[in-house]
Amino acid sequence: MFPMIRLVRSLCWWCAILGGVLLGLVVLVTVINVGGFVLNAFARLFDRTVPGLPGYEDAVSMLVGLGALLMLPWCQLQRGHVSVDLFTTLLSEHALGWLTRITDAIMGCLAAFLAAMLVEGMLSYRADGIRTPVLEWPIWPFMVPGVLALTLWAVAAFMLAIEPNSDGDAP
Amino acid sequence: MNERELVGAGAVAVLFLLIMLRVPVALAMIGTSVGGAYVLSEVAPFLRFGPYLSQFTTAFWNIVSNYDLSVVPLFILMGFLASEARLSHDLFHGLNALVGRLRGGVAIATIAACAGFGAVSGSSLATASTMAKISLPELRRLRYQEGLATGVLAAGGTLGILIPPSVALVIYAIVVEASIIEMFQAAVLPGLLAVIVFMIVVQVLVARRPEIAPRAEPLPVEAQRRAVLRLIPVLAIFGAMILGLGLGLFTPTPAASVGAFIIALYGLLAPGRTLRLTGMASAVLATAKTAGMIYLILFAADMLKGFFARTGLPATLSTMAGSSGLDPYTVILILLLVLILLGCFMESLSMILVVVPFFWPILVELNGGDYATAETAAFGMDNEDLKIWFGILALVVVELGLITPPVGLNVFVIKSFAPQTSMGTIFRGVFPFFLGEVVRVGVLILIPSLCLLLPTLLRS
Repeated sequence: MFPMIRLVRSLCWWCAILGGVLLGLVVLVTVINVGGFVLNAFARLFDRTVPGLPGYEDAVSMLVGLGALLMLPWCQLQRGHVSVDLFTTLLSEHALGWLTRITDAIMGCLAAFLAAMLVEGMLSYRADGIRTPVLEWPIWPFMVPGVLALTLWAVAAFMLAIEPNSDGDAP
Repeated sequence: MNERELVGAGAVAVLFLLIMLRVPVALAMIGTSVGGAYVLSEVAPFLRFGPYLSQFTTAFWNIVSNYDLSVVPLFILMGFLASEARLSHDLFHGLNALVGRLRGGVAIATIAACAGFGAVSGSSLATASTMAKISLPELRRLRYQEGLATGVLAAGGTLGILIPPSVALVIYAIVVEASIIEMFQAAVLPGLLAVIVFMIVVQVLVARRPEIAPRAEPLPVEAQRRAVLRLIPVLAIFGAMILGLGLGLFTPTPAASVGAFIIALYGLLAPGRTLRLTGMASAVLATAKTAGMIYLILFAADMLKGFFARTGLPATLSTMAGSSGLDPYTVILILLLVLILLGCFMESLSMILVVVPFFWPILVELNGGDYATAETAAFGMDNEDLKIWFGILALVVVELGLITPPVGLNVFVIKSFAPQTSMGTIFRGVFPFFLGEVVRVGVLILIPSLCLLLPTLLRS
């Protein structure tokens, strides 16, 4: 396997795992928050209160948002985007291979376009100082790794278009 | 039709053409909406292309960071963790220990296990493939007729879409701006009805031809005790999830998170468990693949919805339907038929996202417009209840599409696990369940309160 392909596959794998770690963080934050609610129900019996985590929804939105973007390169590498195999089963394997290459290349263009658009969106969020409603975290820093993930998605898609057998499970 | 609407109609044709050419559905949707918006700006210059395109700068981020949608990857993660922790295995073997000795008992255990695992995995195809791996060897060992064995798995797999928590229900609720919790509540009784109908189908088949489902030999007492003991925590986890969401005790995102946490903890700590770091990594990677696909389709659907709104096509179609003089129930039957046909070859989620934005305005118009009340509405319910009822009907017929000849997707999934079984045998095996599903659709159309009872009760 070419070192470049191995590198891209590793990066996609680690990106997806990082996305999973962020989801794991959301799970833990939620468990703590739910625990707080349960304790609060008991504490109220004794005229006490246990507060929930402030800005829980803000944190979940940002972490899941970033996590979802980080998962896209792996989804591409696995050719996970659904398509309909109804009439194309009539095509020869050779023709089908080319059709797959073309759609991979177009998918790469779309990913690159979305990355460029997200850069523009990120710059406008930064310029406008847009923050989350409760925690008042600036949103644009969460978009930076998102731009990198979308760029990696584009690279993975172009790689599949050039070398169709570079998909697979192992990093 | 004016020029704008013609562009919209042309875009629908292009969209389906691209999908037929095996272009990924999300890519086809985005390509159609961008290309269509450009053509529209040429036809109607006041609908400028620039502002439409500028939505792309933030729309994708807004979709992935939408709190309501955060439940989607969490439910998916929970389903894959359940699979890695072998909960589906324990579920089937526990149920089999309880009812497997009855005639047709293993088929019944398969249906119940499909319902339980389908609820947690939320995906029909995943349910069919997971349960096929587990129960097909047992059905074959007992020499169940091949048609019954494969048919029950293909049909049982469809239960994943409807029984809460279901990703498809979440997506539908977001598309039509309905309450996710109320959709979950509405799905409980129709989901249970499906389980009961499938079990009745098995019993009828077995009563007519007992030789198709030989009785299983009794399990040794110790093995039976162990299987039942392993079933209890699984039933507790799955039951708490289904009932908690169905009765509105939990909201979706905390339910999915806590569900994933408990399943992971159970998989890691319970005696004899097999969930390790590699299993968790597999669950995360499988989640990445599915969640990435769903988020891109959601974004694409959002862009497509914006484009079609600019063409004015959905509004025109709804006006045409309203003034056509057609009976509302005839229209709803036609819409459901279209969903069944599309469901034969299209993935359920993309289908909901593509067609519901067209169907929903038509139904509102037929029901008497935006301000219809239960007393004046054609369907005898206000638009909020109509959303719920139609959503359940739509998902039930999507299920039906998964086992409809000649291209039911679930049948293909089962075929991949039974390569020596002909497609004809599987379709013949699934046909009685197909008829059962048709009866269920009829019952749900005739008795909407089966869908509306729980949301109405819990609302009050």
